[in-house]
Amino acid sequence: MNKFFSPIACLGIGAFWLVLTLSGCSESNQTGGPGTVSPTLAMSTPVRVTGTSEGLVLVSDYDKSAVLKLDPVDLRITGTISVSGRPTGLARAGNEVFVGNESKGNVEVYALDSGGYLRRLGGADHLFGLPNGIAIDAAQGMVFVVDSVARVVKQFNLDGSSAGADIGGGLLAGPTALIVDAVNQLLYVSDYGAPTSAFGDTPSIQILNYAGVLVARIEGTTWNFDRPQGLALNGSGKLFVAEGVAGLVLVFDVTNPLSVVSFPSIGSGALNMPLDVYIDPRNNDLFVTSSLNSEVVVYRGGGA
Amino acid sequence: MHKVLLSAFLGLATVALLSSTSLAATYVDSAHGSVFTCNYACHVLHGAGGSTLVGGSNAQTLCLSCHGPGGTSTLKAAIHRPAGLLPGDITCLECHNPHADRDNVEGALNDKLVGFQYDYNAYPVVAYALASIRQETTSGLGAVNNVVFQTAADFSRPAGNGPCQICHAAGPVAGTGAFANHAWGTDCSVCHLHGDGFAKHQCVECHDTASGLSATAPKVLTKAGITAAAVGAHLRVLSADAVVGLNDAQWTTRCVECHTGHSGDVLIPNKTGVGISYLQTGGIGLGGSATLVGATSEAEICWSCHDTNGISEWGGNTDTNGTAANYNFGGLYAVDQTTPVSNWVDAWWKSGTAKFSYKTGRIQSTHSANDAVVGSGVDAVDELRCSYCHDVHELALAPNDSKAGKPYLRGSWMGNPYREDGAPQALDTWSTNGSFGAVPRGGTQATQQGGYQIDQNNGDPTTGGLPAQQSPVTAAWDLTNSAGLCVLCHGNDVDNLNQFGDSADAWVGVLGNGHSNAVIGGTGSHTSNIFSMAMRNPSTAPLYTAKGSSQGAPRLAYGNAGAFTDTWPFGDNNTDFWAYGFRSQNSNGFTLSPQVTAAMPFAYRAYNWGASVDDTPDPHYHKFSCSKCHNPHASRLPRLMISNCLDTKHNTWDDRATVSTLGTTTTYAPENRGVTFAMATSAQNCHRLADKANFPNATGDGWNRVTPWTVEGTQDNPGIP
Repeated sequence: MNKFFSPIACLGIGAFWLVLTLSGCSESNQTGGPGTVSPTLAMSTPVRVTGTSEGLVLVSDYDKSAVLKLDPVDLRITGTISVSGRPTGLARAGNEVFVGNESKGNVEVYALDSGGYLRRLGGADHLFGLPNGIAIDAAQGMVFVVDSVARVVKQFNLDGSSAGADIGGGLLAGPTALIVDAVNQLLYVSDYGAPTSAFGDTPSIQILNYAGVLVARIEGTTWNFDRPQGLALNGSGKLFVAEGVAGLVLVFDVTNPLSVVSFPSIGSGALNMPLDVYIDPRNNDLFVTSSLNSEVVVYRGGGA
Repeated sequence: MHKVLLSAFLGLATVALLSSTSLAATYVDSAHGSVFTCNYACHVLHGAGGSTLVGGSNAQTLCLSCHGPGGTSTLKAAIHRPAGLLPGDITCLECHNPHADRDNVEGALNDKLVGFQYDYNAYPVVAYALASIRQETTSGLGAVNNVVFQTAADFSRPAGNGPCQICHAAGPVAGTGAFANHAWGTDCSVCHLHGDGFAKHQCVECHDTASGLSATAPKVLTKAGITAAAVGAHLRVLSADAVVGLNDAQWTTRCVECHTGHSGDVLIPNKTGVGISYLQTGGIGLGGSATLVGATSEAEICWSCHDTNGISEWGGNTDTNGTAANYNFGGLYAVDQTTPVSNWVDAWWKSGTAKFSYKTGRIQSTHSANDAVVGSGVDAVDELRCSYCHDVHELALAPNDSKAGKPYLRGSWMGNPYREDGAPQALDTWSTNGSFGAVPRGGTQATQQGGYQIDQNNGDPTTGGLPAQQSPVTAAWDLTNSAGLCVLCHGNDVDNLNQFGDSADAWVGVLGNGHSNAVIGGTGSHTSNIFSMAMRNPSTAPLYTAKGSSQGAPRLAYGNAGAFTDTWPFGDNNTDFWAYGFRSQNSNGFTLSPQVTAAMPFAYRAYNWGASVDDTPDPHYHKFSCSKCHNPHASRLPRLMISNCLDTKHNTWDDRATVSTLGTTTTYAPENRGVTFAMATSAQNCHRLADKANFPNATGDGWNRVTPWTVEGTQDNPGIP
């Protein structure tokens, strides 16, 4: 009944792009150069992925209780940030890494370089049911956290203080992840949907402004997706969405959110429960967490 | 193994969904159906590749899209992959029926959708009327068995039909081997988390400070770089047991010597206020391989191990009061009063000061620390909760717990810095009697035992050596620092502090709570005047009219002669008026022994206890710590009291040959006729309890009614709870 994708596909060629993966299946890929990485750091359950201005790729690994730092070229693990609990949501601002800790129901902030713990948003645990997604508008100094249980987006300042009331209440039914369009001050929120939603069962990408007003919806029933997860937006208005159960990365043109255009999806046959995408702004390399294969898959130039 | 034909399943599933069966549960009743509709949650009618599951996915991927990382459900699950089985060998659908909770063989409804209706491993697919799971092993498929799962405590059931038991034998439920008692209760998921596929875990995977498997599990140790010195006392049973260099499994063998996973024979229930709040387990499980012999309660487990290692909570003990003095306040013995014992219940207590043998008796009160106990007295041994006060692994989860080391308390506690009170005994002498002569407590300088021990003759320990009657307590002795542990359960309202019964019944004084004006943290709001002339001299004597008058009715400390109409005990000591008394050297008095040492009866001028002489009670004259009066474990007196410092009934000093007992001459005030010196109006024992049964003229009601030093097993006021 249940066919699993083989976890041995550590290196392959995607439909259009060079595909390089890091997973728990290959010792050489795990450890990289001699003496640089402990073999115990093999990836287990990658969830969210983001990057740094220096080009490092950051991945929250749920079962490893860590944020992994990957070399973007060969995907070697070059370091970790230990998290006491199950890390999910992930975002970066400057030298600080924001990590959703499912076990503690909080969002913790760590120093990127040292991995040292700095603070919690709101200063307390259990502020979130499931802090599955984090997005940051560094210019505005805003941190947005999607809570899949409370079904809202919570707003904070970078220092951890509250930045206002929750938004999205009554609109979001099963939110999982989000990203900010800082230029237009929009939030793109992946939403599984639920019968309790104002929009019925339908999964969607909901586009809200920072005040929480619904701007547009990308409907799953229209664009054939069911479990939207992590998102990424490139510089030319393309939105990339990890589709968990279909094992794909969906691509939309959202230059005009009210008139979305789709492109061929990415990753067919190579991704097993993809949960997030990240585009390296330097070269448009597209990184995808393939959680059930314990991999991060990179499509060189795939985020263009 | 899993060889399902999807189409066959779908056909049956569709029938099941669209037509109610004879079983009680339907989709709309289930955890899924009560929230989600078919076509939202899981199904599409025309899915990719012919699949009827959304996204063309397989069932397991679909489950994990909500129950895995990043999903919207808080019920997290991961693939169960026991050793030897491949990914996909055991899937969600082999234990769960996603469409409805199934009736089970015991006539109830299962929970969490446990137990399938359709066996996908069979072809054609077989439907079962009762919730079932097929056994799967590394050698192949086994039989289909009924499964019962109504609560988390049903993973392993006495009937053997819990979901884990379909494939796994938990092992013997008892024994002394390292893992012989692996069956630590019935909620297997406490250690084998569904969130990580029921993987095996060692204790330190959650309880090491560096572990991330469980953020909420208490962090008991740091195995990396651990040293024997850093281990502390409670990570091994015997001091010779190795603790350095252990691997995870070896650590588990250490842990299970005391603990039985998270259940076991002895469960210490959660008590959030003291930092014990383990939601997955409901408390702390004890009863491990090293504890079960003869120990069936928490307290017995502690005592047993302490006895083995020569550790006693009695006699001279751990210094917890900083630079203040420490004393031996006695110990527990068997009925032979010779053999030391640890068990409080039925033990006999003897003072650490041999001459106070009159105190020897059976324990009358114990500290259960247990909210379920609603009355004072001696608790049953299984009601005692050592862990509510002692944090033996130094987790410091209670508010303000600062990890102060032994005796591993959950809050601050300053041990008793006062010498043991006791009635003056025959042949007692005091080296520095001053002008009052060889009587007990002639002044603060008389520190030898025999008599009360208060701030003023113990160096004012809580006020940094400054006169307690004039000075505030030092920072080290405020309520937070000296009794933070007590506050955890009893609160910080010292004025109304009263655990059992009605405080007005227990205290002497109309406002009914002596803590208020005598104990650190009290505000004085319940101050009662428990020493007045009306109490000591109800006959209205003495009424001084001139120098030297009323020698048969002297006031306390022979004072107050200066203000002839003063109605207060110490009077005005500023002017050298005098009243001859019982022990004057001057023949105008009674010249009884032991006499005052001054040629003139000016002894009152040496009065140095510092109590004021105005007509109101002194605010906070006493600044006693909790430990001054209470033993936190067990006591010979009721209410955990270790002191009733002014119970004159046991004063034998008065009986010595050279000390007179007052006669019955009518030249004495009525309340002095036929009483001992300890009960005379002149005695410096403000709140004394007189022996009115044997000395009916005596006055003095004491300061409380519940802690008399009576004959062993008898209480003066048994009607007071």
